[in-house]
Amino acid sequence: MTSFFQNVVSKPQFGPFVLLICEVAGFSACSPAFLSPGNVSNLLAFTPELGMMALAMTLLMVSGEFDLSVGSLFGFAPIVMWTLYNAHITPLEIGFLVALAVAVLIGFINGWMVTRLKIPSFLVTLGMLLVVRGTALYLTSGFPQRTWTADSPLTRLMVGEFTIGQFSIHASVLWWLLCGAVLGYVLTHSRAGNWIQAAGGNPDAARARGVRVPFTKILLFMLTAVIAAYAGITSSIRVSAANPNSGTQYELEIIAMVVIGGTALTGGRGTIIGTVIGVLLLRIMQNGIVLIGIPGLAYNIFIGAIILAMMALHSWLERRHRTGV
Amino acid sequence: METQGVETVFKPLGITYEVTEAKLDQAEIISRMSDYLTANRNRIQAIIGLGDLVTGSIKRVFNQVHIKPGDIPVIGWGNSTDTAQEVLDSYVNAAMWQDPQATSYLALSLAAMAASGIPPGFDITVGTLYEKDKAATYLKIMEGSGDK
Repeated sequence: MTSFFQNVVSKPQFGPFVLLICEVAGFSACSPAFLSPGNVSNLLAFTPELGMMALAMTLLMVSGEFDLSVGSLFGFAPIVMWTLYNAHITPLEIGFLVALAVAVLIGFINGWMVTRLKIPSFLVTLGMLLVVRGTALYLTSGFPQRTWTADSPLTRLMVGEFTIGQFSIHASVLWWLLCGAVLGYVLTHSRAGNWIQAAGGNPDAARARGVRVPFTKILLFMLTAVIAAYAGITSSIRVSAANPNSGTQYELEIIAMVVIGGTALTGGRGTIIGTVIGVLLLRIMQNGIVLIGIPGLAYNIFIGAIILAMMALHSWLERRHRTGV
Repeated sequence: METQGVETVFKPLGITYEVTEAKLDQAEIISRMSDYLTANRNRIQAIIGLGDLVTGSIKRVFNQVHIKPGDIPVIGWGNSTDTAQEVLDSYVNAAMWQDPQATSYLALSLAAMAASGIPPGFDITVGTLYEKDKAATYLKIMEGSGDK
């Protein structure tokens, strides 16, 4: 029993998990509406869309890279799909596949430039962010795309809503959990996971042991891009809107979620369960501070300050954990 | 400017209000508005949408937090098809149509007059508040089909 407890406590995601419990308890005590079915439904509506991107970003960051273009892809992919559909060029399903294919190509270009041209991922993906966002604005002349008339099995499959009383849940929550389970398995129980961790931990040693570091990273850039596109399309179907500005600054929020969940910015270390906890920590905080009555225009001050405080607390807990206290 | 305008009208009347930021992404706008309505449902007597994306999200927010159309009076910017449709569906009581061409063309005409030494000395109204009876007109204009 003691060894089981020590095993649980020694996990890197234990610190964020304790923070999550404290956060839920604190907000529940301060606001009776926090755990109401309506509020939990609100919370779970948007969380999977950011959460999916955070899962893919975790793998990329464990490999020692990150992608700043995910937010722009989140906005761009739905624009591609709805433009094709609204202009009667393709059915919705084909438009969906074309949007994902474009995302794969963008991810490949990111990965190729980072691994072959040896340009830091910060610069490559920052440039790609501007290219993709600019293309979305140019394609739409800055106007949102209409999505009201679309009714397809695809939309129901991606974001179909189940309602029990006041509690409602979208299918995207299930896809998020499934995506987390698959990527968690890949990261911790597969050869690909070993490659990812080796590529981020010590790339030279990994290469010497036969790990195809550039190939692994290119695949991860492609995965990150395609999941960002999928998340953006999910969001656009759910809210019936495809806006070229969608996803602005999501890249930073997602990186914050991943880091809060225990993934090292320098690569080599991170877990999917930690990221899920990080996503929940940040989303619950964003929801909770509105519920407890923080003034609307002061929202960002509190979010920024709380992220800093959480990072500091997380760092302190981890140092204690490493020293065995 | 908009929040200053709200203050000049509401403050003398003793009406309390809060301005809250909603961001640019519709998913995040809906999420924040839903959170705010969940937290403050009993205190909110009316909503002013300071932006097309905000006003155009009212239907989705009300549906998400189970508020019936008309339970909370809403007015706001109305230069989007979403908002015009919401006015028709009674989610929004009235919305502001600001004609884009008139706003730019007439303002430039006024500026040209001033530049050529003719002081305008008058205002030009380039928009109007529309309600349910006129919403179809503006919806058709924004859909590009005109009111014929």
